[in-house]
Amino acid sequence: MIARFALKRVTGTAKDYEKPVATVCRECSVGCGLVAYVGKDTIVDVQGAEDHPVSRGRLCARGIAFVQALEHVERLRVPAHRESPHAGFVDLNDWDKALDLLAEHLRRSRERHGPESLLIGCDTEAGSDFSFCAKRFARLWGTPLVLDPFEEPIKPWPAGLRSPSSSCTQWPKSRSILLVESDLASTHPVAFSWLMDAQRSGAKIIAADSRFTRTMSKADVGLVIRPGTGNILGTALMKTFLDLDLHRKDRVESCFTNPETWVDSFAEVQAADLAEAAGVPHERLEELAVMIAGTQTTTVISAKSLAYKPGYRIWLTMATAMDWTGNDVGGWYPLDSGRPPMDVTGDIEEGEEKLLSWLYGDHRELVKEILEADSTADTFNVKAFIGSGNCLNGFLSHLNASIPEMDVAAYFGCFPNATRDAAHIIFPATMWPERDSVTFSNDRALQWAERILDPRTGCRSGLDFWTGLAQRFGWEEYFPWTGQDGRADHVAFYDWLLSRGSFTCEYQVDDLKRSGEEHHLVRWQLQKEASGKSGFQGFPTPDGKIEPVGPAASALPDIQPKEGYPLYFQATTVISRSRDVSNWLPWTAELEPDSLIQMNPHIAQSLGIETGDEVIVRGPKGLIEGRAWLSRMVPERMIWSQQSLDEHWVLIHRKDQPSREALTILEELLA
Amino acid sequence: MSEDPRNKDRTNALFVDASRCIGCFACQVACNMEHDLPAGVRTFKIIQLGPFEQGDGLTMSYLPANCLHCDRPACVAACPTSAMRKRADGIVFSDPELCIGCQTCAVACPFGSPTLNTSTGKIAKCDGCRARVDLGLWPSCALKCPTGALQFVSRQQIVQARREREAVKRLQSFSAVKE
Repeated sequence: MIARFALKRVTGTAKDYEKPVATVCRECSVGCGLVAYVGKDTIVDVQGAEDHPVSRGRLCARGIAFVQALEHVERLRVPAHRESPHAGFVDLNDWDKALDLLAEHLRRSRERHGPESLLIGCDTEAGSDFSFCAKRFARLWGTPLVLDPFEEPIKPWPAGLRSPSSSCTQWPKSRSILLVESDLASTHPVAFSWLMDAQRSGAKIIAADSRFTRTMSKADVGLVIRPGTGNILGTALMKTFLDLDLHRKDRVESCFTNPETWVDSFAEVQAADLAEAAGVPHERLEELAVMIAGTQTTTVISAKSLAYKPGYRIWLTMATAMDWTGNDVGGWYPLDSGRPPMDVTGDIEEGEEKLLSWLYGDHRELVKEILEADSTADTFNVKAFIGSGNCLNGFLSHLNASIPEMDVAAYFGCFPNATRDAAHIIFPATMWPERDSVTFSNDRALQWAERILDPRTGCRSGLDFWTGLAQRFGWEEYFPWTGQDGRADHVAFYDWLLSRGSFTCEYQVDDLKRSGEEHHLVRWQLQKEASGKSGFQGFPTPDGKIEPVGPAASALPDIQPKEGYPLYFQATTVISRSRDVSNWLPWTAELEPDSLIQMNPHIAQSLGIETGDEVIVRGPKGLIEGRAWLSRMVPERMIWSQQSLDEHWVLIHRKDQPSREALTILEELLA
Repeated sequence: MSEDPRNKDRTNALFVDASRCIGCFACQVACNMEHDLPAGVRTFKIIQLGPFEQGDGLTMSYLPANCLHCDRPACVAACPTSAMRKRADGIVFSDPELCIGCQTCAVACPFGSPTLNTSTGKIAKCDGCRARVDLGLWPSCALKCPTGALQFVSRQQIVQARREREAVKRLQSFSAVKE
């Protein structure tokens, strides 16, 4: 045994400050403990909370740079209104006036087009209070159109199933960790440090992704797969486990509702075909299966993007069939799925439950369907829109074209952006350092995150917004969380919210105030009856079983090039950016400029493109411009950028090069 | 200030473990905040090496390159106003009171460490977080580094960490062979 020494970290600040505020970073879903040093109403320094069990005093670039946005000169601080999309905004200087105006517009729109004409877009930037209250308001209003991308990945979990995996702090005890299409090093650097600790403790790290990512650069085994085939890789791996008889038959028998049918369903497919569909050599997959099965305790980390594709539950199925689930170590760790189920509308008798389910689908496709529905079946005739963050530049981008036809579009956000530009009324939002809230982390931790600063003048929270709007329709009794000062009482709201979840009802805000301190976290899904290798008694579902998925659940993604567009386009987040607000953090915004367009050197050479050249990426319906970054991080047939483009297949060429010429070269090269 | 070699054993140094660096820039942003540097002033250079072809696959790594606080710093020798100095504990820093922003140090440095702070017109360079170190605190970059690639430890600890890592590597390769 080799002696290990703990390195003594000495924390504190050399800056002048008035008070330290301990809170939780809300830049991503890791839930790092954070200490902000506040002096004269500004943050002078931030540090990680040393005794936080997940973050251990560490922070990422985003967890430091957020300070810059708070005092940014471009920040919206005054409610404003304009008569038409082409008119200039007029400051209202008064939230009450702005809410009166919005209520009046909404009322008129409902009279003309019915309640289902209202669509609400919830960007994570607006906070969980905004999205929970939006659902409540929508129920009272009578519209099912509340789109909240943060909520969805929880739904594939079977009803009653509490914990498919252990915490990230347990990763060092895993013997192998499989990451599927999740570039954890870029999206969650602090959680990634646990993965590196696991590797140092001897765990094998296997990363499967369509691009050579930061995560893959640190992995022991890297598998470059075809874009969008993560769940197919899972099916191929499961089939290989079955072929090689590496699964746990007793677990299949005791935990699956239909064990024999499930096993039989795999007889109809060939592992080699599935492996080929995922772009992985079959022999390599077999080697991998033997290696993983040999390590016994495996953790599978799946990206949130896989939740929107068919066959997502293959990971839970596999983790169960291989006996990784339900133990203290290992299991399935679905990223960004840490929000517990909350019934926020069940107490409302008026109206009926109408929230739209948009699981297993692309957000943009769903919006397309909604918009197409209004012309054909007259089901949804979207004429009013309330959007937060920059949802019109993200999952609601298809809605953009319809906004000019709408009666009213309201924007609740912090900075000018595409959603603000489309709106008639602006409501300046608080940022997370100015909001008290309960945070829900990947590890299913419940933490009370205190605000660091009071809200800037003119800015209010999502709870304030919906409470104010509800009051204008006489729904005060459904939004009773108002303090003596007339503003929203966030403690009362979150106390109520926790009471609305079967896994959280035993907690109150007061119980969570020390969560994260002294190496202790309150987690919302303690699966006491299932913990311990020998103590696993099946799932806490009524019959102790879950419904597994077979190969039929997977479907090949659209991986055939379109005529005239021979290259696959992928846009993902980078390490220094998350959400629209990142554009307003100069320290991080300049680190990885969003103008960079990554392409493989082989393709670039043929097209006469060098790093730094101005290039155009063109799809059938849109294009983006930027500067070329030649790198083998992308395979030959892929183009990557931070900028989103609503296309899967594209053509790239130099700005001064005819697109036809580039296409001819690429067609010859890739033939 | 005279340089006492015995101090080297008593002071901590920044230990850069590139094998743990994921190129996340937290060190740079921490430095921006600590020293109130504007965006674009890079005191830390995170160099991405690769991906290069290796066998059937690719390999890629990150190298966090900041000031090495040289034993015989060229920047100190070149500075015309003596703004650039080396402390007894080894820290090389630029005194903003004396710096005239001539960038002679930037030209002299073989590693390109000193750079111009565009908002002040003076030189920006890693000063080892001397204000923090004098209070007994870790430098900001090391404290915030999410993966532990940067640590502020004694030279003995660095040697021990290196030895430990090598030993673990050998043990792991030994057990792999055994399997």
